[in-house]
Amino acid sequence: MSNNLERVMNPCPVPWGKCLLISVLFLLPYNTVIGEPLRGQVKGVKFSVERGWYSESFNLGLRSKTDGAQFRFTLDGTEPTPEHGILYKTPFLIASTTTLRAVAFKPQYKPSSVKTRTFLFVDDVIRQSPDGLPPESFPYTWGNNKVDYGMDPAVVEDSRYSDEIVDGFYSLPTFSVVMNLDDLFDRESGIYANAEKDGREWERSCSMELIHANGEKGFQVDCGIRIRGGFSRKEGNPKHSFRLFFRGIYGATKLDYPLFGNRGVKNFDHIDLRTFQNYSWNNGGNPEAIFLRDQFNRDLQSAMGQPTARGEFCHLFINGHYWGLYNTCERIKASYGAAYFGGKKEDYDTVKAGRTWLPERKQSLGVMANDGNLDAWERLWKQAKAGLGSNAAYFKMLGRNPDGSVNLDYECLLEVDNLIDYMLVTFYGGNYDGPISAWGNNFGPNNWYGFRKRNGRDGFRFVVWDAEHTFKDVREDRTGPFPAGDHYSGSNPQWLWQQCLENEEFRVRVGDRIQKHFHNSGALTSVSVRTRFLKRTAEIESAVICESARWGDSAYTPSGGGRGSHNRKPRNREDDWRHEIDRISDDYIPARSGIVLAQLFGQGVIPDVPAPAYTIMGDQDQRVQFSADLGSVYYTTDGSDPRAIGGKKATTAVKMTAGTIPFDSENPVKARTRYRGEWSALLQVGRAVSARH
Amino acid sequence: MKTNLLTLLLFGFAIAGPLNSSAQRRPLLFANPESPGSHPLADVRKQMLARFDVDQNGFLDKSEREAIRMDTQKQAVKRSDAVLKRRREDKQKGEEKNRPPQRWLKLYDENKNGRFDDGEWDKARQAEVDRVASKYDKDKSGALDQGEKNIIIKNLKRNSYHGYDAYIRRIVSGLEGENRGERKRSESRKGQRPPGKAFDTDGDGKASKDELKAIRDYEAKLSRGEAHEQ
Repeated sequence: MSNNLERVMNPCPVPWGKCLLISVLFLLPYNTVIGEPLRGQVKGVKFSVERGWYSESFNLGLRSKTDGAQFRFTLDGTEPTPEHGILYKTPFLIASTTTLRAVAFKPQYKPSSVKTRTFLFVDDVIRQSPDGLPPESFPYTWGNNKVDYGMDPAVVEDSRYSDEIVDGFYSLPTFSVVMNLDDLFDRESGIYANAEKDGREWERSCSMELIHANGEKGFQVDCGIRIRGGFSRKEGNPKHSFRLFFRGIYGATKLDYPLFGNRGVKNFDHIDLRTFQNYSWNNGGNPEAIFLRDQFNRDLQSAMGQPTARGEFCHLFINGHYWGLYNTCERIKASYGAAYFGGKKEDYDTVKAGRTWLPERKQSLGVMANDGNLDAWERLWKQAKAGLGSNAAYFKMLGRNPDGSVNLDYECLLEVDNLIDYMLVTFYGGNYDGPISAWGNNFGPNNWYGFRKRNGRDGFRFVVWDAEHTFKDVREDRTGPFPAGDHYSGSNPQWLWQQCLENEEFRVRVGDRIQKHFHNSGALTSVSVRTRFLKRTAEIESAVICESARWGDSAYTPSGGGRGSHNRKPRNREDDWRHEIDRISDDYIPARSGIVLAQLFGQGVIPDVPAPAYTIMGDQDQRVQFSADLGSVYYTTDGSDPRAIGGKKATTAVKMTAGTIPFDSENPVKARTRYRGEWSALLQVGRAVSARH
Repeated sequence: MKTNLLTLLLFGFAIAGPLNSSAQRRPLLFANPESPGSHPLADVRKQMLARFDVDQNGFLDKSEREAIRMDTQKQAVKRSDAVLKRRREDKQKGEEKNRPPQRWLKLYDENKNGRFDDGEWDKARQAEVDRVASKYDKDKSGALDQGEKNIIIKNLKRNSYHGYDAYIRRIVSGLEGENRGERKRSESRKGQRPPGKAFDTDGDGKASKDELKAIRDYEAKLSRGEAHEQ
């Protein structure tokens, strides 16, 4: 077929892409060998056993609804064709971990599409390549990339883990990538062997399956696969992250599956399988590896009611060989905006820290448009650069008049609450590599994403990204102000925050968000953070053993020596992971909220008037009573702010005297203390219903 | 017994009262900055009051908090300026350090523009390599043996050569090639499996059943001392 196409294509005077299309359309219905029209396509391969985890062997049969169809299958990840693969005769025994790709064919029919099934046997998986040699049919080298294979017996046979490691595999969903290993590891063309290469040219086809150990229905999809990431692409790091693309050329144009349950959308153009690099066992054997840092920062952003890139933990297998603990992650692309905020993909600008070369200006920017363009982002930066001290300038940026009312002639460029919450997560985690990087003395941006619906009414929103350098020193202070962003080339959300702080109304809003998240049962109180953190910890607790067996010995530290050495000690859960988890949950989290509050107070952005204390009364018909040690309490029941823009008392505000006020989730009560003409932060009792995003 | 029962009941009411009542006061985690103790917020507030409470009324009003914010900005600008100053100085030092020595410029900068253009640099490097090699070729054999190279390496450790001169000595002694070449790569694989090339009998770069068996047999022999490292 390819020879025929080449013959057709070579003399072709039209561009080869068009030529290929014409040729394929023209040739497909015909048998290219004898020139007779094809009678149709063979119906797809059906497997007698579903993909999944197995503990006992079984016979696997193949069938097709097309009478007289024959089958060929491969076990090495390559795509079978009517000419390539093992000819299927009768059902055969599957007794160990197997990845099988099968095609059905019949003379004068177009062959079926290739179907892939992964069968995993846990007893077999935990003994994969115990001596570190390649599994059969895997390559000895990965180009210049550091090589690491197998499950370390020092972990698998450790009495602390030998039973639990099985649960470790069953405890998380499993992704199985099956593909031609040359496409991964070939020195010249393999994407893993050339991990630093990026772009469409470095995308290969693969099959991806999702397998649940509890029998829940998973999926199989043919898709494109690339290496993802920045610094983690270096050849000294043997474990890379992947990005999967769902395109018509591979199969379905979207993945239709609720990867994040009811919390997220149900179809995807692409997803990321992230792994861990800065604090990982695979890259240098770092003892601070917990595998949660980035995901947990995103969890916190979500808990604050902000959009974020959803993610879950999972295991990954490549052609049946265990590749370790991974983390699914949504991508912040135009499709993300359209899925959660409506409209079409074309309606969105997504911007991020990255490189853009502007030839007309001979300027290199540290910001790039992933979708859409940078026009609105530049307008936002320019408005902020011009100064936001006056309400006229500040509210204009928000698409409003100086009194805060909406002005449809002004475009909204910023979602203020989102920016504040994004920065509070950044400060809480002590993130020193995003959105401004401490490397380079805070002169450069890094690791941030923003997106905006181009309708004039939605401003830019920001999403925590690649927040690995977090939860380190409990005294870490990332509140700045920092120089990055003073020039457009280094523009970033933290610089916007700094500029916005010039404005009193913004500072009031900052105080209000701090009150919401750092007090009572807010998302950034130590109790809430710790509960959420321990929940995530529990999710991966057993799976960490699997990661330890796969990658814990990657650096052969601390004592050195290969797997034959008696002196080495792979990184493992009890000796390494647990210590760092305990440090974060017992030392960092209990102290961190107070420290961040102090850092922000030390910048003058938190009012010195405490918010009202309150007492909730009643079970059915809830009522609230406010009190203040200093000053008086003013409240509203119509959702408005007791403080008017500018600082005067709102006409709707009522002074609390005695008695109680009724409230419910539809009608929250808002209250502030007023003392010496100044207002406390806003306290809201009862929650307004918020949209899902 | 009656008294005991009454006491128990009263005690029971005392603890159950607040729980039973419909009123439940929710504690604020970081309630009041006035709270005594070593809470970071209280500590910072104390510091801020000491520096910025101009009217000394024990309360940081809007203008005083604005003074705090401006001071924070001033400190940040100072820090940034210090970094920029240090960078400028480092750059200047680096430029000086990277400038070719006068001797080199006199000999090889043919167009006298104070730097080496492509052709000039190649000629200069070759001439200096030849000069240093001939200087250390004590036996005049036309090539340096390891002993002669070791003298260069020893001198490199002992003397503080100009960067250009040190570079030439590293080339002549073989250090430059080692630094850039294979040694580091093989070191980075220390502890990893041998690539198995010697056992890749069919040359396809992939491990086959037979090849894996051969490697494992060889390693077993190696551990028994019946084979030598390949």
